[in-house]
Amino acid sequence: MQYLNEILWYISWPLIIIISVKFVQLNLTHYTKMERLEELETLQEKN
Amino acid sequence: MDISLLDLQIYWWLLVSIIGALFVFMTFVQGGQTLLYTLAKTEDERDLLVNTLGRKWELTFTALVMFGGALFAAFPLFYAVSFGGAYYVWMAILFCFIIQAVAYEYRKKPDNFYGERFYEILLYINGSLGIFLIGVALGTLFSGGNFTVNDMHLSMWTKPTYGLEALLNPFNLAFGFMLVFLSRVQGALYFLNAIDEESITNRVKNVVKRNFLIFLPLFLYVVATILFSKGYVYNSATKIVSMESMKFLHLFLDLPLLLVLLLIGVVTLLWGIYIALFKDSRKAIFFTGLGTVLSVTIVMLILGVHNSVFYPSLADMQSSLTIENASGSYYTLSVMAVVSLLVPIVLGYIFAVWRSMDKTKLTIDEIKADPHHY
Repeated sequence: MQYLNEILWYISWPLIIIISVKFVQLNLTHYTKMERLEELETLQEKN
Repeated sequence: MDISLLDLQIYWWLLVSIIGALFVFMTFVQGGQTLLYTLAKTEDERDLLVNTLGRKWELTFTALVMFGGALFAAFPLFYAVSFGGAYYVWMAILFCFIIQAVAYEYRKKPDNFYGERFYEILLYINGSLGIFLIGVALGTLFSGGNFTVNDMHLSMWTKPTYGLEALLNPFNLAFGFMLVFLSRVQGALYFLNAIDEESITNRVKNVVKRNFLIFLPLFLYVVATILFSKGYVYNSATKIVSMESMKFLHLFLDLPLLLVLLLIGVVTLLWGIYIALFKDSRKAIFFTGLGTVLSVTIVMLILGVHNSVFYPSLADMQSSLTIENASGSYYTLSVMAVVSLLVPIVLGYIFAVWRSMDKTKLTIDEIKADPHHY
């Protein structure tokens, strides 16, 4: 297995891309939720 | 994990090729800048075009910086030789990009005594001269530069024109013009996808047709020259550089996967043009974009594999740069390889921002209603 390390390195890339996309999605969902929470807080303060 | 130095060098050349290809795709912004007076006939229409591009121009700039940064960091000897040597070309490219930033920021500023037209001319210079010079610089990766490098890694440029002599080589000129007309085709297709204003989109088809007909012969000339002319090659054991007839044709025959990927790229690009011209599709940019990224990645990649020389020296053949003699140390490349795992996260955010900007098609009314428009 002369190229085992190289093969492992390259096949890890799709996995890294999937993890990165999930991470970005999670972050954006969290951001949207926080924005909504702030809106609700402002509404509550007004009432 | 224990990866060899050569594998790290190939990995970094692959990354540089992919980022370079993404940059070439993103030059649709520059192409669009050269079409302001072709596609728009009124001030409102021009405002709409500038703002459609204005939402993306920083992404192109980021791609350029990332491409230059990765290339120069992974292959520092190329940085030393090329930036210090082909100095006038690189400085001209940088000035072309400085005026772009200035134009976007100041075009609509109140009490601007130069007038909008002045900044539109700057955008035109960036879109035409800037991209042409980048094309010429990329062309020299195949045709070579006039430099020498000694044993201490000290480099010298042998011509007093410091890079401008590359403009005398027809291959470099063709490469530069090819990129200009490709970016104009992409720019027009981008407008077709992002704008919902019939007066503009009706003019796009003609622009695509005309620019594509100029791009095609240039592209064929460049590909034929790469495939059939002599190429530089080094011996992996002795590191001695020599010339080989039809070097890149032999490379493609030895590595057919690269040939297949290149052909897929070219066919996808042509399919994008076809559906834009004959099927009235507004999604053509995605196909031409994918085709461009694939083709340019392969065209760049072939310079770093199969013992190819990626920056031949016309002054002293043995000074030519290869991924083996121009790269950073094993330590540098391996640390940077670990950091490169964060690249998908950056690209992920760019993708998210892009999607949120493109959620709705742009119209003149929308631009007028936005107090922060360019």
